[in-house]
Formats: sequence, structure tokens, C-alpha cells
Amino acid sequence: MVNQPFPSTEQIRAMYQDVFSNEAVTAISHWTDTNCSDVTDEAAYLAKAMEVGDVVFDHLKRAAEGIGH
Amino acid sequence: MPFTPKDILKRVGEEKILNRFYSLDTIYKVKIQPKCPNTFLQKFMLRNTVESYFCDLQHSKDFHNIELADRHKVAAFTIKWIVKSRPIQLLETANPSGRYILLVNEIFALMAGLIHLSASIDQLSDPMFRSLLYTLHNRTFDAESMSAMMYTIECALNGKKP
Repeated sequence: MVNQPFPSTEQIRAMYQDVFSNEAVTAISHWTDTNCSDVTDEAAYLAKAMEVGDVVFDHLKRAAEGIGH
Repeated sequence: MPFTPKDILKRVGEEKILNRFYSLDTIYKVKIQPKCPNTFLQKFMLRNTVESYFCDLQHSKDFHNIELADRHKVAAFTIKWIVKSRPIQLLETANPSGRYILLVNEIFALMAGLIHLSASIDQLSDPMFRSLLYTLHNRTFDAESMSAMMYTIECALNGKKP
């Protein structure tokens, strides 16, 4: 058996840093967004919800019926 | 900083929880219930859905040191907890026909989640919608993976490179 050195936490973190400091990756995993609904009022959320047309349910029904098992 | 569910909910605050509760209740009443009269929204389960959502999201934010969650995560965690908690129930007298009625919680979840992206289900293609419904109903998924899916969907709907 090869006697490998036991890596330290700092070494592992440094290796990750090389990969995950990339902006494109952090954009998905750690994105902070000041426009999120954490701070947006519920009225805006509801207003958007009400914009969804009723006809959508016919579409839902058709699509859902097509799901196979 | 306290991390128990009780303490997290205390930090979130009753007002935020109640506001989201009433938003989801209204969406159900206006968008789902008229089309699915054989169903009702179980209020205890909805409250549990909302509390679980805030708890889970806050937990993730604490772990990753995120100040404010982006809309993809908000959408994904919303979808996760509606699907897990299944707050829409069939009436005892219901004699439903058609498979879609059994997927009403998944439909409600997608509807409530996509609104956070300013999107709606009818903007999805049938194959994409079917795939999402199937995934939510039959497969194991986690909110973080689903948030990447939400990011991709938003890009596709806005003609952006994901």
C-alpha cells in the first residue's frame, strides 16, 4: 500500500478554490441577488401570478395526460 | 447564530410566513380550484409547506453564507416543498378522471415556482413540461439541482446562453 501523506483542510480548500472561484460556477451556486423575492413584496409576486391566463389549464391537462409510466 | 428550525423561523418572522401563506392560498383559489373543483387546499399542510420552505432555504443560505437567495433558488425551494408536502388534497367525495388531477400538487408547485422567474407553465414546451412533472412526481431531486434547472429554463425563455 502506498503511504500517502494526509492532506490538510487548507490544501483541500486551495484545490477547490482553483475550480470554484470561477465566476460562472459561483453564479449558480452562490449567487446573491438583491432582486430576489426575499425582499420583494408579496403583492408583486401575486400580481405576476394573476397574469397567468386561465387557458393554461387546458394545456396542462393535455400535457399531463401524455405522461407515460 | 441559532440554527434550529424554531430559531430559523423566528429569524424569518411570522409576517413573512403569513404573507407567503396567503399568496399561495390566493394562487390556489384563483388558478387551481376553479379548474379542479374536486380538490381543496389543506391549510395546516400549506403552513407546514411555507415553514419548511423558509427553514430549508435559510439553512442553505447560512451554510453557503448567502445574504439573499437568488430567484432560481427561491423557485426551486418553493417547488420542492410544495411537492413534498402536497397541500392540495382530493375531496373525499371526489371521483376524479384523468391523470392530471393526481399531479395537481406538481402543477401547483411549478406554477408557484415559475412565477418567481416571471414565467408561466404555458411558456414551456409539452416535452419539457412532461419531463418536469415526471421528475417531480417520480424521481428524487434536491432543491439545489432544481435551481440549476430553473436557471437554465430562465435563460432559454429569455434567449440567453445558459
